[in-house]
Amino acid sequence: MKPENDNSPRDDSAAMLDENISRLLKAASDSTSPSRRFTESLIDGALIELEEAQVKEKDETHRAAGSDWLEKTLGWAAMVAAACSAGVAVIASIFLKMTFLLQSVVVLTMLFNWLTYLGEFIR
Amino acid sequence: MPNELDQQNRAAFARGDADVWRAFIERQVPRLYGLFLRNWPNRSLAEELVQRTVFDAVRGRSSYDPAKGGPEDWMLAIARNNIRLEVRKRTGRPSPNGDVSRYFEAIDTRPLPDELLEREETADMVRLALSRLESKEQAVLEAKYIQEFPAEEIARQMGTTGKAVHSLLYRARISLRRELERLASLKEKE
Repeated sequence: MKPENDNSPRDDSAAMLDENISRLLKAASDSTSPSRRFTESLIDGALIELEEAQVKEKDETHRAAGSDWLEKTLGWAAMVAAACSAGVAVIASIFLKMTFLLQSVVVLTMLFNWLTYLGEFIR
Repeated sequence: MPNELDQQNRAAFARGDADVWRAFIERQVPRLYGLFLRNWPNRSLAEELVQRTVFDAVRGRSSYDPAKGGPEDWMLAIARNNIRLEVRKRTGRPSPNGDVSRYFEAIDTRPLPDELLEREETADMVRLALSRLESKEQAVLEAKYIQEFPAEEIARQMGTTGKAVHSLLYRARISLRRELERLASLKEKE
């Protein structure tokens, strides 16, 4: 039984014969302009390609705009993180130079402030 | 110039307006075809180069600058570049020798060289072979390969079925091939 979609050498040779006969007959033709059908099919193909290129360009523009937004957000986040790290480093260095009593006062003040803030927030 | 697009149309062309492009390609096809045919008397090659030029233009649309000139000149530059490429491609290619019959014997296994198709004697041989076929076979070959009608359209014109047209086409191709081989071997004997 012949398998479906059989791409046999016989098909290839028929296609090659078809192609060569087409070229030979065109060579023997006196026509100085292409056939109407050729022009129409070329125009249709070119317009499909044009439309696809435009869709692709639009997609790329959208993608570029999306990546632009992500880049900005990440930039700001990095800046905030850098500023916070610098602040923590300064506070930590000052904190380490303090006496134990002063450190305890600072920690207790911070704790008290947070508890007050939490209490305000819950109320 | 009557064929030049005006400024507004040039901008629409650069934007990729489908209607402007349709009208533009329709005007350019005969012009490009004539240009390629003047370089090589080979209609199938001319069609191939026209197609390549139009698609190159579509793909390279972003390189068109309306301030630099009309799209006609821009497309002509693409066509000239394709001519240069074709000339370069042919430079290293061996030209077919005088024995035509061996090309016709292999007509269903490899493409015939362009240089062979461009010879006047090949065109004469095809015309002679065609004239020896039955009138129905001649008509179907012309409708299919010169006018490029689909089988259904040929069937409608000939008052027959699509299946009958396919069968007639098959016979016509075989007959033409046989005639070409016969003429080529006769020529070889001369």
